[in-house]
Amino acid sequence: MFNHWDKWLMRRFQKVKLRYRKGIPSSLRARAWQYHSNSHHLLNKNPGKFEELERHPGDPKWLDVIEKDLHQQFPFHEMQQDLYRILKAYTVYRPEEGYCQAQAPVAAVLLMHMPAEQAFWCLVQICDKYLPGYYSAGLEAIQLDGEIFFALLRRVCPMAYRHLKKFKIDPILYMTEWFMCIFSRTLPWSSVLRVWDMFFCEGGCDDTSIALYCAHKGGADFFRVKIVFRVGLVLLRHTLGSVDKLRSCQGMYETMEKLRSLPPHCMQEEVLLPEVSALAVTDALIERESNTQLRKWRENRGELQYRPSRRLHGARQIQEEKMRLNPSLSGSRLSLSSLSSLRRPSPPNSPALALQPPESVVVSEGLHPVLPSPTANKAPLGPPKEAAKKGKEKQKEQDKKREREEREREKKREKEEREERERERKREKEREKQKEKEEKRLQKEKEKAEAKQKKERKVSFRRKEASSPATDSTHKSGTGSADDTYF
Amino acid sequence: TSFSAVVLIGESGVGKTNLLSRFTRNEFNHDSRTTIGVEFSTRTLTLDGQLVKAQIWDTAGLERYRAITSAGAVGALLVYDITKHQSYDSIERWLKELYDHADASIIVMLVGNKSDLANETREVPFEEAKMYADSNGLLFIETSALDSTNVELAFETILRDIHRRVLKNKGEIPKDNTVVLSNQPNTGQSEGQTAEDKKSCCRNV
Repeated sequence: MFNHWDKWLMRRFQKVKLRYRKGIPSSLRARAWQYHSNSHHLLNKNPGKFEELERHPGDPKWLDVIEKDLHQQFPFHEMQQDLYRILKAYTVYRPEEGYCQAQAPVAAVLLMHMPAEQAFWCLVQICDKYLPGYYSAGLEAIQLDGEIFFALLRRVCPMAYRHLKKFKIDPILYMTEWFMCIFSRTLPWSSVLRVWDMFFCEGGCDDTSIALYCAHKGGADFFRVKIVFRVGLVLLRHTLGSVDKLRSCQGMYETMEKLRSLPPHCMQEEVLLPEVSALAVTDALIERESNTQLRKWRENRGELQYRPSRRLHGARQIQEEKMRLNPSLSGSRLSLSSLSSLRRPSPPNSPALALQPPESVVVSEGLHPVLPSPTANKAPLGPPKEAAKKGKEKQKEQDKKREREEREREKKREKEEREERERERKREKEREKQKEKEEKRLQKEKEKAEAKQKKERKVSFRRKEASSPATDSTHKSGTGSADDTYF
Repeated sequence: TSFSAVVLIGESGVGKTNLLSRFTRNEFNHDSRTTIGVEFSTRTLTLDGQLVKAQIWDTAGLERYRAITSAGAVGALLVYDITKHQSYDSIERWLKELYDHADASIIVMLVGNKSDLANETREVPFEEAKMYADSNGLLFIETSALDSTNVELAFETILRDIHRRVLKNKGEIPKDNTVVLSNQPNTGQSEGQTAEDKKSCCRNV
C-alpha cells in the first residue's frame, strides 16, 4: 500500500479508511502515521533541517520550561532527551508559537514509534494541520472547540448535556486535556493507538464547507477535529448517559470526579472504537454547530485572536494540499474532482468558490470526496468500485485537464446541487423510516414498562435513534451497496 | 455545610498539584504529571465549628493557560518555589492576571513552596516575600508539600478567612455562585455592586 501511497490515497481512500478503522498493524504504524500526516514528505523536502534547528541555541525561556516540564512528565531518561530535542526544535521552528505543555505527551507518543527527526515532522503536521491553534497562546481554538463539542453533546446525549449544564461544568474543565493530548493521557494505550490511527487518517472534518463558509464571511478557516470530537462524545455518553449513572454524581464535584476517572470498560478498544465509528454525528451537524458557535463566540467575545492558516484534518486533505503545491505529482486531480461530484454535496454557499483564490479552490474541491458525507457514518466503508472505475477513465484525459478544469467545476457544482436535493430527500425518507421503526419499538416497550419510568425510556429511545442508522449502514457497507443507497 | 472555591495558581513546576494532593488526600507524588487544563479536588473540614466543603482548583502553570483558569474563585493560593527566584519574579504578572479575571474581593495568599529545601537551595528570602505580601495585602506562608509543613495551615487560613467573610455577610441573600472557570468576564457582578455583595460567594446549603 505504501509503495503506491498516492494512488491509494486518492483513489481507494475508502479502503484505506476501512483499514485504519480496523487498526494498523504495529509494525506499519510508524510509516502509516508519517504517510498519512504527510510528514514523510516534509522530511524529504527538508533534509538537514532538523539538525539545523537542533544546533540553534533556542530561546532560553522555552528551554527552561521544557526542561522542567519533561523532568516532571517523563522520568524515563532516554525518552526525555529525544523529547527535549523535538520540543526545542519546534520552538525554534515556530518561535511565535513556542512550547505548550500538552505537546510533550503528543510528541512522546510519536517518539514511541519513530526516531526523533521523523517524530518532529509529524508533530509539526499535527500542530500545523490537524490541530492548529490548539497550542497557541490564549487557547482560543480549544475553547471554541469546547463550545462546539458541548453543542454536539446536546444532540448526541441530551441527558449528559443537561447534567453538565445544570452543574455549570464548562467544557474546558474536562475536555482540555482530552483534546490537547489527543487522549494520550486519558485512554489505555491500546485505545490511544487506535484512536490515533483514525485521527491521522480522518482526523478532522472532511468537509470544506465550514472553511468556505468562514472564508466567505471573511473569517478564518475552520475544520473540526472530527475524531477527537467523536471519541469525547462516546466517553461522555458512557459516563453520564443514563439516569443510573447520573444518580451517583449529583453535584459539580462528584461529576468532575467522575469525569476524571472515566469508567474503564468504555475506554477499552473493543468497546470504544466501534462506538466511535458508529456515532451518529454527521458532518452537516458538525458544520452547523461550528458555525453557530463561531457566531456566538464573535457576538460574545469578539473576533478570534488566532487565525489558523488552514486546518487539514486527515491524510487525504494533506495529500491534496501537497498535490496543489506540486502539480507535477498530481496525476489524478481531475478524476478526483469528478469523483467528488459523484459523492459529495456542494457546500451551501458554493458561489463562494468563485471568491476564493484559485489555489484554495482546488484544495477545497479535492476535499469533498474524502469521506462520504453528511451521512458520513452511514456509508463509510463501502469500497468505491464504481467510483474508482470512473476515476480510471477520467485519468486518460489527464493531459487536457487543465483547460477543462473550469468547465468541469461548473458542471460539478450543478451536479452537486442536484445531488444535495436528492440526498435531502433520501435523508428525510430515512428519518421517516427510522421514526416508524422506533415508534413500533417504543410501543412494545410501553406495554412492558411502568409509567413512572417514562422519562428514562425517552432518553434511551433518543439514543437508540441516534445510533441506529450508523449500525444499519455498517451492515450495508459489507454488501458494497451503501453508496447507491445514499448517493 | 458551606462551599468555598479556591484556585491554585503560579508558574509550572512550583508544586501546586502536590500542595493540593497533600491537602486533600495527604499524598505526595515525586513524579506528578504536569497539569494540562484544570484539575479539581475537594475536602470537607471544620472551621469555627462549621463544616466547610473546600473546592480547590488546580491549574496549569504555563502562561498560555491563564485565560482559562482564574475567573470565579473567591480565594487564590499564588504559589512560587522558594528555590527558583524566577518563579517568584512572575507573581506580579499572576496577580495582575488574577485581578483582571477574578472577583476584585478575592482573597489571595502568597505561598512559598518547597521550604524543605530552604537550607540548601533557597533563592527567595522569607523576609523579602513577606514584605511583598504585606505591602500588597496578601496573606503569606511558606510550605512544603513534601514534608507537609504548613500545608494544612495554609489552606485552613485562607478558608477561614473566606468563611468569616461569609459569616459577616450572612444577613444577605445568598447568591448562586457556583464557580465556573472560564475567561468570560464576570458579567454577573457589575461595578456598581458593593463589596459585600461581591463577597457573598459562599453559599449555605
